[in-house]
Amino acid sequence: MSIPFRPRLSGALIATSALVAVAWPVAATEPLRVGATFITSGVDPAKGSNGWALTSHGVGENLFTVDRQGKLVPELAEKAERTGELTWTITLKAGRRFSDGSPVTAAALAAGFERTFANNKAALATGGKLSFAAADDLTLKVSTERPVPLIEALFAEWPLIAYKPSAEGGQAIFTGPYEIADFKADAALQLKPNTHFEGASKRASVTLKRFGDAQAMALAFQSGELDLAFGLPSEIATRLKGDPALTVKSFAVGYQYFAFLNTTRPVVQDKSVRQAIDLAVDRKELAAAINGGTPATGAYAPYFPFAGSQARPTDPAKAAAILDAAGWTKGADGIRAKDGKALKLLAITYPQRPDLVTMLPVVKAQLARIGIGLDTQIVDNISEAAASGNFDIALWAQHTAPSGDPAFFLNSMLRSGASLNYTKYASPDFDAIIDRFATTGDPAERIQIALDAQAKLFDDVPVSFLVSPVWYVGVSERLQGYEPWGSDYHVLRADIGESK
Amino acid sequence: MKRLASWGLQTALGLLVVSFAAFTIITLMPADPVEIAIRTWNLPATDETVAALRQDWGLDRPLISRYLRWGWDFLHGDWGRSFRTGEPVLTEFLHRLPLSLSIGIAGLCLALMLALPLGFAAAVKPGGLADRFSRLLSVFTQSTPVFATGLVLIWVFGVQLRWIRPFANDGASLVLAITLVALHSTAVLTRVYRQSLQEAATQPWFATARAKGLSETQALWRHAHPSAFYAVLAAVHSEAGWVIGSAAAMEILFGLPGISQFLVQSISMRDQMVLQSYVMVVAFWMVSVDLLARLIMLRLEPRLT
Amino acid sequence: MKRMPLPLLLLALLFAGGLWQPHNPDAVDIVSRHIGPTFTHPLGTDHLGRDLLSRLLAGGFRTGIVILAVGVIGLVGGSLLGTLAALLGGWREVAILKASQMFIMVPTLIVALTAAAVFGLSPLSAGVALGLAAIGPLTVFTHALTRRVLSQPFMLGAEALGVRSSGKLFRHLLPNTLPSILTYVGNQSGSAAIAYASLAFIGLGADPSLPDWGGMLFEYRMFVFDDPMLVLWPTLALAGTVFLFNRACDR
Repeated sequence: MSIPFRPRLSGALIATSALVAVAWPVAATEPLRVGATFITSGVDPAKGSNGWALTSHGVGENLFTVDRQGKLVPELAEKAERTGELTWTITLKAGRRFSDGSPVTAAALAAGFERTFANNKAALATGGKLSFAAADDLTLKVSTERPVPLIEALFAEWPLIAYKPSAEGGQAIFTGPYEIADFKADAALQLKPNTHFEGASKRASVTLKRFGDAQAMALAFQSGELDLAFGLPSEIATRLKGDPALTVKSFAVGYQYFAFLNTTRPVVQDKSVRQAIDLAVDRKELAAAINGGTPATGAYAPYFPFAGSQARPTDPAKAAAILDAAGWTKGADGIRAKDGKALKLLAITYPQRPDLVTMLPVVKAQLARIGIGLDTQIVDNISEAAASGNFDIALWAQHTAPSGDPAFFLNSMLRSGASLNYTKYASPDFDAIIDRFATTGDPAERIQIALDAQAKLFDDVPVSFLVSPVWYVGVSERLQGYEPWGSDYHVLRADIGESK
Repeated sequence: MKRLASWGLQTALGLLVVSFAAFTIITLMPADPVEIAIRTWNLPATDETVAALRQDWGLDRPLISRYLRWGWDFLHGDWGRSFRTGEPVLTEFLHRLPLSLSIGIAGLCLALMLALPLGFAAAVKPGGLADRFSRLLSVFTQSTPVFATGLVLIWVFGVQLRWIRPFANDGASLVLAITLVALHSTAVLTRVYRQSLQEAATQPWFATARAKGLSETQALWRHAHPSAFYAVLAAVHSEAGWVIGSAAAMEILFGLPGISQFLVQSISMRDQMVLQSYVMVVAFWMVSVDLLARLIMLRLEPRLT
Repeated sequence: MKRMPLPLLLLALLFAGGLWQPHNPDAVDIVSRHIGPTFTHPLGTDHLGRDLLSRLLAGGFRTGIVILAVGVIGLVGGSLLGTLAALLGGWREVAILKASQMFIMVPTLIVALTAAAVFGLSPLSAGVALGLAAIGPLTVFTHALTRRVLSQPFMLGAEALGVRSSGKLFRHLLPNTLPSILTYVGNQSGSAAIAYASLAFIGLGADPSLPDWGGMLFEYRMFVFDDPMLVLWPTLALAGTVFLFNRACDR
């Protein structure tokens, strides 16, 4: 054992600084630095909500999409034609290429879609299981399990990202303006311009950094660390007014904040308890707590034609009366009880939507006013927690009309037995109402169906609609031209608005 | 040499026990990773899917055989795949380890470098500036959590002075994290060093050395320093564990993509291979620091080891 | 033994804060948020208009539970095992010591973090996990201490006089070891309060609406710009508590 030892630590220090240098290589060209509170959980487009995330990151595209005016427009597809009750023919745009340079063919996309439908139940919401056949390179034959009046909207739904599965279990190949250079789970995504997408030479590469919470992102943005900070906490807007280098833009989004009420839990399965909760929440106070937004009128953001016209009512006195009538009486500690069982519920939400985290203690205080006690929890993995059914109230943020159409949200999250129906709401009457979506493509009729469905939800309260929010996006001088639209479905896109 | 061999044997045995205990505990944790995966990815919950996943992840075999299989693969550089991301765990750790290790190693080294002069100055002049400062530092770091100090420093350097760019994952926030980690260890090691120096100074042979004409400082350095440094090395081991903990808090505070951040995100998914690898990495870290300290001690004072 | 009242008094103060607060610590008042110190809100309110003093008091109660749990579990487990190891000798001594050293190999915070993920983070679950993790180092410490006391002349003398029964040994031994053990346990419980704050800050398995000091620091860290007092007060409360607790145990 003859390791020479010198009582100096310079050796160790040099080794350490070498480590540091290896860990943080200096980039040759300056990529755009983008911060967000969410990042795709993996590069497999069929898993969970990766389809949405990859599209949002500018990596993937859909056959159809919703443009900045909220209109349904073709993206990879050129048009769709109905050829029968359950069959459609989709024509693809010519000349589009995958990021590996191979042409976008019907056969490649068919393989991708087949894979998604086999692995992701969220894809089944509107048309059941679809099957695909490539008639020729640019013609895709689609048959649905249920009649679908508007196939364009179905293909704009987030699970249906278009891709070419790779042969040997490797990564799927996409068509968007960016391609993945490096992916670090939960931390960062390095994107480089997809050289086979128009205008690639004008596009900088992008470093997308995921922040555990929006507050940390705000600090980073404030210290000049980010060119684009998506989903800033609302407090930051006033604070940054004096800084000429940083701009904060706000925009109304298609997202709704609401509370899922688990209809299978011992207490919450009682409709009167759910109605009391719905009446007890003070939506104005919630909107004030998150510094933006308006009390929800129903399932959709107010700018949609199928949104309700009046804010949901708040009436704590009536809520208390309903609970009294149902036999829940107030105890000494202010919490109601019935048959010796305290009215104590578990409310959960998730950090990826910081507004919800702010709202959670406010909801707790509001429910405490009518004698409902609340345990609260923040879970990193909300879809898992919600699917486990281990909650009474889940505060949730959801784009309720991502394809510009009201049906997808109701079908995927509230229909009896739907895969994302976390409330386990099962109402044949409600199902009958939304069944009518399958029979008509007429916009006016679809609006009426959506309003009828919402009225039924207001009555049964499997979900309590809370706030139609406003979001904040921060941009540096380099990205002054960035205009936020489409909620967070298209954060990174071909026309990112970089000033040269 | 013989002692070192016996130490090696004991350590290997210890690692074996820790790995098995961790494997068992992680396996027996409530909540089934397969069910979690099915819910998270919204997979069809058919018997086929479940069976396929179980087989894919090796969950269909008995605990002992899984452990042996894991141990064999682990030693051969296959740390399994993350249930959550589907990526090989080793790759993920290799991505993240340099960061966590540099925080840990640099933190400990910095602490050692600061502790020796500070502790020496404190021992030379008890009640002097160095002594009072090190005592204050010790009281402060013992009672203030490292992330609270970090928050204040972010505010001062990052926002008020704009010297550093917090959350940038650049050198500066790394330096801040390292400094914060080092503060606590500096305080502990300084006090240990100072105390041992003073203890040595009360020994009869120390008076003899002084009588030979050495100044107090010279006598302290030549005769008290070796044994005091020995005490410091012994204390480094317990600090190594502390450093891991505070490095975790730093990774959360600064949003640094190290292994602890990965752990926090993996625990809720019961991502077995990640948890297991984390425990092993931490155990290896503790063992390596211990080994290094022992080697240095052996070099310093072959008789004592 | 005269030193015990001071730490106990501190604990009692922490618990008293949990029994009474000027306001409901969870009550939200959006209109009066971020107001500075007033007569009704001596420390002001947070971003949701909750009374900061009430939240700090309620958080103190929770911190007190952790300190108490770690103290009791560590004290009982560690001193028992350490003393036993020293008295029993032979392979049993080696076994106990080796087991404790293995415990030390896995850092405390990691043990507690895992426990929090599985059982949820509450003062009790964290206190039990941190307490169990503290047994390892305490056993080693007590063992070394006991060995030293045992080798002192009066103990050797007692043994020579035929005091062999363990009851008598304990009677001679404990008064000599207990004071140092208590100091050590006191310091361990103090750092347990810090560890609990770290756990609440990391937030795994915690109920964020409950006023834990560490959780408050996480929740309020953003307001360090506009309302730095929100961060300062919980820091001071925590640092003050741990500082006083350590000092009280030291003398």
